[in-house]
Amino acid sequence: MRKVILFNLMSLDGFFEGPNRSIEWHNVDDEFNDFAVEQVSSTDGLIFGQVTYEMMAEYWPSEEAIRSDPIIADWMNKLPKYVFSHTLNRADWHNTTLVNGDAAVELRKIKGESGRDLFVFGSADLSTSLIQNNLIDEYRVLVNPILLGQGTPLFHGLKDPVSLQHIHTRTFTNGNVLLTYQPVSRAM
Amino acid sequence: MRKVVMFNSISLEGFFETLDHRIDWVNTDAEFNKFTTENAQSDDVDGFILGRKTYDMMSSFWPTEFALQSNPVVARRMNELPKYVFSRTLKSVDWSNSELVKGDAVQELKRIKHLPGKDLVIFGSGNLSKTFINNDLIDEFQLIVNPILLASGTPLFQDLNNSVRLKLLNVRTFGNGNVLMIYQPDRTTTSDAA
Repeated sequence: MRKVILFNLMSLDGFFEGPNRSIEWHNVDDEFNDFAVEQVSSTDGLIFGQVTYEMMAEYWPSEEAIRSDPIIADWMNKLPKYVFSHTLNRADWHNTTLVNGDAAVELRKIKGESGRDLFVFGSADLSTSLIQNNLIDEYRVLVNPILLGQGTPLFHGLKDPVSLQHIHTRTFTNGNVLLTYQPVSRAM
Repeated sequence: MRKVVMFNSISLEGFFETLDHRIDWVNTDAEFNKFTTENAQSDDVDGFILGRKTYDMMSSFWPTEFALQSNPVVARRMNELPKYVFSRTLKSVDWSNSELVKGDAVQELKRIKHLPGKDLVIFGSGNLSKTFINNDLIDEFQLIVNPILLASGTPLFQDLNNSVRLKLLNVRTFGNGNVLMIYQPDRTTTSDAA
């Protein structure tokens, strides 16, 4: 079955975005971009909640994105995408499927289809529901070297603790640290 | 001037204790205990900074027979080294080599940092840490990220006034899945990120 991998950038104080959804603190450089390309080229499906979908659907097809980030933009635009939302009526970004039903049920269906591993980017609310339903098979948290002070916690609203098994640590030269875990129930 | 080093275990989402103040999820084993023992024996440190709650917890643990037997090196060190207890409500402190600090926390820590001596370690103490970070008095952060999502708990870093850019100094992964990450405030840039 396809794995679902949660990937997010997080500040050392646990936020994935600062006040007013700010993400300009994201510590990115060539090494990070190589890593990001490696990630998107390993998948054939991206999962989004509504808020993250709307941000991404506005950014990646834009002239600016295609100019400043051509390789990632190409991947983001062409990869199959699923947006989980009860309120959207349509999803116009290229190759996007709108999923209106129960997130856990629908994601189990998608996981059961043939294909490569799936990624969840951003999408904190959707992630909470997926974590709680034990549908995340791998956590990749890229800890950025900053205390934001204020912001939106990446992990919030969980009802129960989740024991993790640490799989890998990668230190980037710009001070980012990638922490990779599996939930213990999924571990060997 | 003496450095102030913050040392804490946190969950992946950044909590240092559960809402009912439990820390029994902190992941320890022989390798990790060896690390804390070596830390305790370090020659770089000769004092601790504690808030009231951390003081209450530690002073009721480290002097006990149980602590002395199960963790003798760390216990001896904790009991022997000078401890500065920042509290406006405590009347006295009975733990050996403790000094009650009642004045303005920022002024007092500045004074203590200027005293001759080695580095100081601050444990736990969420509120006190916040005040010190806001006043740029923490010189190093040593955080042990434990492989767990606690779901609910008390964030180690709470509502800071400003963002703080950091410089990563070192990373160490333990066999039990803990990851130690060491940072310094990056004082070469202004912190206007958020």
